[in-house]
Amino acid sequence: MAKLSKLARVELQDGDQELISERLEKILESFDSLQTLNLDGVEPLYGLNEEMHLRDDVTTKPLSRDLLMENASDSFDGAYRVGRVVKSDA
Amino acid sequence: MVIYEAVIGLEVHAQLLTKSKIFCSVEIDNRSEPNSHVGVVSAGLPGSLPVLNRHAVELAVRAGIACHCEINLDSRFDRKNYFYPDLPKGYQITQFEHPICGEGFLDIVSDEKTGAKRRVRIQRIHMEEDAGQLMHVASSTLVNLNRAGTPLIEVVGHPDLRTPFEAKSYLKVLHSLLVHAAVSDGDLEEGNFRCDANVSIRKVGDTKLGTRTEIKNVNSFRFVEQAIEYEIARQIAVVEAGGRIVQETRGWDSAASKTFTMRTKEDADDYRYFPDPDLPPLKLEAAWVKSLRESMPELPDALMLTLQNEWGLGSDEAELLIQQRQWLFYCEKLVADGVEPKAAVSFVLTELVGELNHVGLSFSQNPLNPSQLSQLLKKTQSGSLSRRQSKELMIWWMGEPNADLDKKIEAEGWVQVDSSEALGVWVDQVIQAHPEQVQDFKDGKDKILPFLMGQVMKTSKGKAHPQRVSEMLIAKIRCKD
Amino acid sequence: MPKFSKARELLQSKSISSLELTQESLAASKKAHAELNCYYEICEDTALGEARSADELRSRGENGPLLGVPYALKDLILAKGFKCTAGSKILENFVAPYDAHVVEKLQRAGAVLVGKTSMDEFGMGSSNENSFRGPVRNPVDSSCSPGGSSGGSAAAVASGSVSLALGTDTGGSIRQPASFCGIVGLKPTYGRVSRYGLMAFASSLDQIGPMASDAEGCAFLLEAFAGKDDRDATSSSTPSLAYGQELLRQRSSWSWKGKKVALPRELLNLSYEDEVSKEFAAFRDYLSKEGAQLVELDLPHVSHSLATYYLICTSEASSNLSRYDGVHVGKRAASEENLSLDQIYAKSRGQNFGLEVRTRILLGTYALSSGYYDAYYRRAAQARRMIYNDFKKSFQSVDFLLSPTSPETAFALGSKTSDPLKMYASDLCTLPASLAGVPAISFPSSLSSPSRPVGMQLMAPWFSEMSLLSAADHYSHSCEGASDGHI
Repeated sequence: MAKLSKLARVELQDGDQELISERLEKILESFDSLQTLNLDGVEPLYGLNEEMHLRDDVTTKPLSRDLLMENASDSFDGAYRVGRVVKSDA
Repeated sequence: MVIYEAVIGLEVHAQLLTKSKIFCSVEIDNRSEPNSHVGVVSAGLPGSLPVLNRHAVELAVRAGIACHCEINLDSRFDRKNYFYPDLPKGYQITQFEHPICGEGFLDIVSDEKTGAKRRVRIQRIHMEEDAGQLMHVASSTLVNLNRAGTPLIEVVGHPDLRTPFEAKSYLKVLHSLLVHAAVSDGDLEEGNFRCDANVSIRKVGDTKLGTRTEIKNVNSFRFVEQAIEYEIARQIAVVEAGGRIVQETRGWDSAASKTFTMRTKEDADDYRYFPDPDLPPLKLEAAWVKSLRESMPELPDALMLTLQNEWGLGSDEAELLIQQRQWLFYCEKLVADGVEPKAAVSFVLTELVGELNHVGLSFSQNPLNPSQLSQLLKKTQSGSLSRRQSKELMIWWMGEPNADLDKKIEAEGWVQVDSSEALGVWVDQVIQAHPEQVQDFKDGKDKILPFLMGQVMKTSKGKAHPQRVSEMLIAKIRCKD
Repeated sequence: MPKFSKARELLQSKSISSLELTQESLAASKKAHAELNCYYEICEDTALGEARSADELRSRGENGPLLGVPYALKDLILAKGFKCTAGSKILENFVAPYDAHVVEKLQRAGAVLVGKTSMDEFGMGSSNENSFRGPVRNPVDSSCSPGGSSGGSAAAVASGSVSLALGTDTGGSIRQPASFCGIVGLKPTYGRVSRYGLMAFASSLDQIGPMASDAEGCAFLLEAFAGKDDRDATSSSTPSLAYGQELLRQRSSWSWKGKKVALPRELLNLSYEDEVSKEFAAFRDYLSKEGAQLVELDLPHVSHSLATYYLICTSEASSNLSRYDGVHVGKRAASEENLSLDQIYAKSRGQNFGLEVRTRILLGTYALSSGYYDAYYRRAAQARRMIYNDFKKSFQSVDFLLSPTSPETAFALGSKTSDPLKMYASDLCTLPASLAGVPAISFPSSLSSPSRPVGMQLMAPWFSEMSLLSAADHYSHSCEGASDGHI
């Protein structure tokens, strides 16, 4: 549970951890029937529209910086801001 | 003594030469003010949806063709999920399971001394979007999304390389191919061509791969070679001392010439790859891929033959031009304008590049466009200007590129004289003044001719048409009794 | 507020101006909101401006069916300049920087945006009790839920504050509230309507759809905003129709005679509330009398719909909601100390996402995680293929599939909140159509005079919205005692 919470970057308060954990268990249990279904050789369906849709390499106007920063919780000089990031790379 | 071999695999990210981003139609511009070239899609705003840029697909296929890869007519985009400030959506759109290009190869120089070549394999090439950039300022980090959404290809090589030199060689070949295929401009300084190296060691004879480390963020071919060399030595030292190699990501400190730990595997995220439901599968038509193959720009190997056979260049000159694509491009324009290829190349390589270096200009800052230089060179070609004169004119013109060439030539009085009368006067003068040398020439000492020519040029103050002078001297001397 | 057909008539005959109609709608919306808590924002100033423009255009001869007609917009769809919260605290200050495709189209049609409606947070819920501003009440019975997640839109229409509203449907979020509130709601074929500007919940399932007091309203609304959009790679190039105009043209000639209607056994075998069973039986009799052929058939894999749906939608949602991070978009956690990067993410999201959203994100993260991907997400996608094939096969021999929209009628607020599985069960009849991507409509049926609204659901082959709208329209015009929405 703690690992999941970290992976999803969703911090859980003490009470919630147990509650959500319980719920997840119950829900996953109810999905057991899916495990026994015979799905050998079945192509998964990931999306319903298979039509290819590409666009031409033509440029359009960018969004204004102000508009972008309006919804940033913290910004400085037109850039999003966070506390100093220790890791040097993704 | 145990002998170890190094096993090296390279992953290269190259930025594609499209106008707009891969999924967002905003212009690519990394140099302007932060966050000035960001759209709804590249900002990852709620409600935004990716739409694939057709030109990016074309360039990715061209890259695959250049690297002799299988082109997969069916490929797909997946989401790679992780959290980082340069990734506004919290996931990167990439190709994980079904990349656009499959297995391929590169022929690289394996032995520095002999120049012997070896074929190494490429595993795959896939398309993905770039992340934004972070700027570290005092106690905070600022995020600039201008680069977010730029189209990249990632070229993944099999761990077939065995030495740091081979790694450098691989990078040079790949770089050259991508630049010539007009897929990427390969600007290492701008970060348009990035290399990560996976390095491990094992005892010679072992077939199992050792634990590898990944070296990231090395921005020159030379540093890659050095970093790999260091890392191999480091790993051998660790193993010899009885330790184990930790699987980790390392950076290169060029000042200290060492690799250092950036992060270990435990910190690595589970990326939870799954097919991106916002993008339908990519299906290419065989006919379209075929037409791309047929319309590929000339790649280095073929180019080498063309330059040697059609332009009559030596292999060194040809090699140099292939490396310096910009110079080649410039020469191609001169040749198209009617300048003789060898002369064009010679002038560009010796005079033009030399002078640009001298005044501290880069080739792209060259004030003279090809048609100007071809104007100049065609006069040299026809003989109306001497080589020395054309060099002087070039230097002058670089300082005043908007001035008129013909006017300058007139002003200098360098309009070349080739009328028989005028030339005849000078030639006769010289023949009169140097009877000994004339006699030597009559006796068969051909090497005297340049001296006599030089004298005519001096007498005419450089205005005499050299070719005609030479002809006239020979004719007059031979006719003399 | 008159229902759409009446409103259109009044406007086109100039018996009422758009300004007057809009003022009426604004007043009714404020009242509805006070009683039912169904709006997040009422856009008074801009609405009046749009109404005046519409009247101006009408005076110059323009006459589109939506010109000057007030509508409400679910707060999951972006309208530039207005807050768009998705029902969540994390977006309580988010202002839309651009218009959704559907909003652009409605603007061009001259419709008037009256307000942004309440919803279950990020579309996750079936009762509109997961809204950060408290539950919405059902206009028919204020102690009951209006359904969800488009509960606000349903309540807005059913209370008569607007005659048209946009909702979104991922697993039944338009149809179930329509059923609970006694109005008409359509989930279009997947890809029929552009998702550009719709905050994504589950990308391969989400669709924007019309909700109205009558089928005619749904038809004209769909006509205005359906169609291919180059900004949505999943939108279909299958030609969109003039659904409203077609509906009017077909009205007098449309009939059930000869149409084959199948009853999926897997849905017949669910346990239904008495009133729902009764009404369903009455509706089947009606169909037979009208000349339709009723058959039973199997959609064998539909019994796995719940698991399939929840594994897929939570997986996609866990990824789609990563962008709400407290850095680029979304409220940052309040904190005394300097937070590390991971803390900013974890706390902002942990503090500002509701319980259901957090639960689903974790479930989805789990289903996609290494070691579990094949057993959960991939398996669910395979099961989805089987369900899709079941539908494909069935439509080779029938024109419609029929079931009640929900096994139950509007339940009491608070009665299901402690048991998520009970809540999910409310969607059992609507999930299959979402998984297969087929269009489905819910319209109120009252042949047996039920004490609360009961919705019937018809499903049709891909891109057959026209048949669904005509069928629903036909029912409301041909039946005695048919529910006719509010006036």
